Amino acid sequence: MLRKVIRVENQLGLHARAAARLVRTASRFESQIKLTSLNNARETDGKDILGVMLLAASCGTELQITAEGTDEEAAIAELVQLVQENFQEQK
Amino acid sequence: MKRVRESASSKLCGIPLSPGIIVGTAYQAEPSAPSFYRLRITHEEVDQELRRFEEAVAQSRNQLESIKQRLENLVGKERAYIADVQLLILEDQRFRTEIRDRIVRHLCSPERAIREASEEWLSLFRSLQDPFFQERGSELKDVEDRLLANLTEVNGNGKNGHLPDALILVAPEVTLSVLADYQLERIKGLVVTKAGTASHVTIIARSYQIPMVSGIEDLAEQVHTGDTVLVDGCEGIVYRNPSHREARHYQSCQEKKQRSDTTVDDNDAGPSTTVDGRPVHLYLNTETESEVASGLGQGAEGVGLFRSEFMFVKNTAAKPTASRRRTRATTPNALLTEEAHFDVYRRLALAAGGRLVILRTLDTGEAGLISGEQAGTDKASLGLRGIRLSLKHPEIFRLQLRAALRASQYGNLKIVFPMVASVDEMIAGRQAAEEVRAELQREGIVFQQPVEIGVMLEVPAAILMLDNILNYADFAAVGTNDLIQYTLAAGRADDVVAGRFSPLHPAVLLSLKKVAEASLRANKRAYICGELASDPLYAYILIGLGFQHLSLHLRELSSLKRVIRGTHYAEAQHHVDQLLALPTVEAVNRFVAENLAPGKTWERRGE
Repeated sequence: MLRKVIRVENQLGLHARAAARLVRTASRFESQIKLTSLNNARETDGKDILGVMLLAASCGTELQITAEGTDEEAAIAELVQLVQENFQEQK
Repeated sequence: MKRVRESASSKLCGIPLSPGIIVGTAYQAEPSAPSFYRLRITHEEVDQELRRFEEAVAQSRNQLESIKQRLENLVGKERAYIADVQLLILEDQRFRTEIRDRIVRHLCSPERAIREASEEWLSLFRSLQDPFFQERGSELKDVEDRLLANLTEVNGNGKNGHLPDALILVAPEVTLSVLADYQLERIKGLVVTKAGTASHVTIIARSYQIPMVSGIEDLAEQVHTGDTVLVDGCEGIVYRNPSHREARHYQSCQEKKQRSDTTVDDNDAGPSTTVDGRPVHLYLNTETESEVASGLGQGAEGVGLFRSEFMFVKNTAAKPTASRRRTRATTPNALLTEEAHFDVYRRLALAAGGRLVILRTLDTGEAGLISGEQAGTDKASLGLRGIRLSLKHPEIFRLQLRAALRASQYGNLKIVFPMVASVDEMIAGRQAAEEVRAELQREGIVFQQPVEIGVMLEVPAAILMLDNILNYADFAAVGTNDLIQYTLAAGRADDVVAGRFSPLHPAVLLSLKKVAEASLRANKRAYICGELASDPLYAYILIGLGFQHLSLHLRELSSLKRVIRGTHYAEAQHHVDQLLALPTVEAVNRFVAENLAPGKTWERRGE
């Protein structure tokens, strides 16, 4: 199991578009993905759009990403990159 | 679909949002939340009901996929995420499982299962403290409504199969997804209760030349599917079942307009002058550089208002290049890269070929940044928007200023700050621009001359402080719509209907007069950038007030030129002096009706 804490830096936080991008990315992996907002202790499955939006992770939120499974390394790396890049479209 | 009842003709007054006149058949967009009555099922029905549910899901998915496709074509990939979010909700395993559980274990009808499951989630959204995230629940609500609609087969498959030919879409509110749900090419007219001049639907209606009227209350009562309606998007009037006389009148007006449109030489550029030789300069209001060339061809002397907020919602974001990565740390999202803005502004400056381009910095509320809804709608009108928003988010402001200043090297670019309510904001805005300029200079960009910075006059406080504010502005631009709205504290749809939103209110005329005088005193240009200038009567009054720089939509250029050429400036001045002495709206209206009615002034000579 891998765990990483990262700060949500984009202005709008995990708003609808960012949440959609995050869920789409998480869903590509076989691993179980868990997201926890360290600000309000909410926790959700990273492949669950409603849960991700309900994290209400605004700008500045410390987000903990946990991945567990065969491709956990790649999953963590990509998700962290996505957040780091402020959910910019990846080509 | 045709109604048997022969209804009497009636006239409904609203707000004109997209010009043009069309007669067609009304079609009420279906109510979004259908009602259902069956709450329980039997054990034997479970399999069948599960299938029905899955079919509704599949159908909803297909619809959303095609909406997504159409939205992408319409507003770009970035904006199409609305459909994407809803697709993900539809596929959300927990949501699906909860619904299936209710059907299988609790023998709920799928309709009830969907509503209950959705309601549970919605209550979670409602419990959030952050109103912005609270609002995300509306995506789920949309999905719920779609599923229910498909289940109850209210609007089942394909709205387009049985739609009338000359389709006039009638709905309290038209969202982008509603618009995409119908094939856009099939919509010939739009009649709505709520929509702003700058909402996306309005912008799309204008660019597709679909006549649109908003501000009509009780639409469900007033207009029924199958009614013949005449939509006058120029005057903001809708006739339900128009009489022959009314229809004929409109037809002849239209023909006349078409004739006169073609009599103006499209290639006739340069300023127009009044009968007595006073030049009046025209400019283009636009949000895309693609209109600039035809604007210039029709006599515009540049771009008087470039609405940059479109940049923030449209997918124009270029891939950020490695060299500009330094801005990344403070760049909120992909839409807001400096390079993307620079690219658009530069193309705009180049398209204008050295002629004036006034770039308005972001004029939207905070919600607009997120949802893409722009300023001008009720909710967004007050509070944190315009220059206030820019000053609160220096990183966005700085990015936009950097892009604008860099692009100013490619033409005659000026910047205007919207929603200024105090001298302080002008000072702060200018300071930010100065910092950016110094920064760019350190990076080796040398400016031949300083970029002019103007003030958008739309808040009454700015009019009261005008002389002081003009000390900190190189020019002024009047946003007439907002100025009227804020001066009269009226602008909502029902205000328009009740006549409270009155462009000729004495207070509005006095404010405009003050702008004309103060800018003359300060020797600074005043541009009129609102919709007001596009109406011949108002244009005539604006000219009479002394304004010489009018900026308006591409489509209005040629007809305004005609007004200018038919106007006698000294006479207009005289009329305006008389108007300014009138204390009541009623007196103003009477004066206008008696002295300025069409045919009495500019049109006499315009032919």
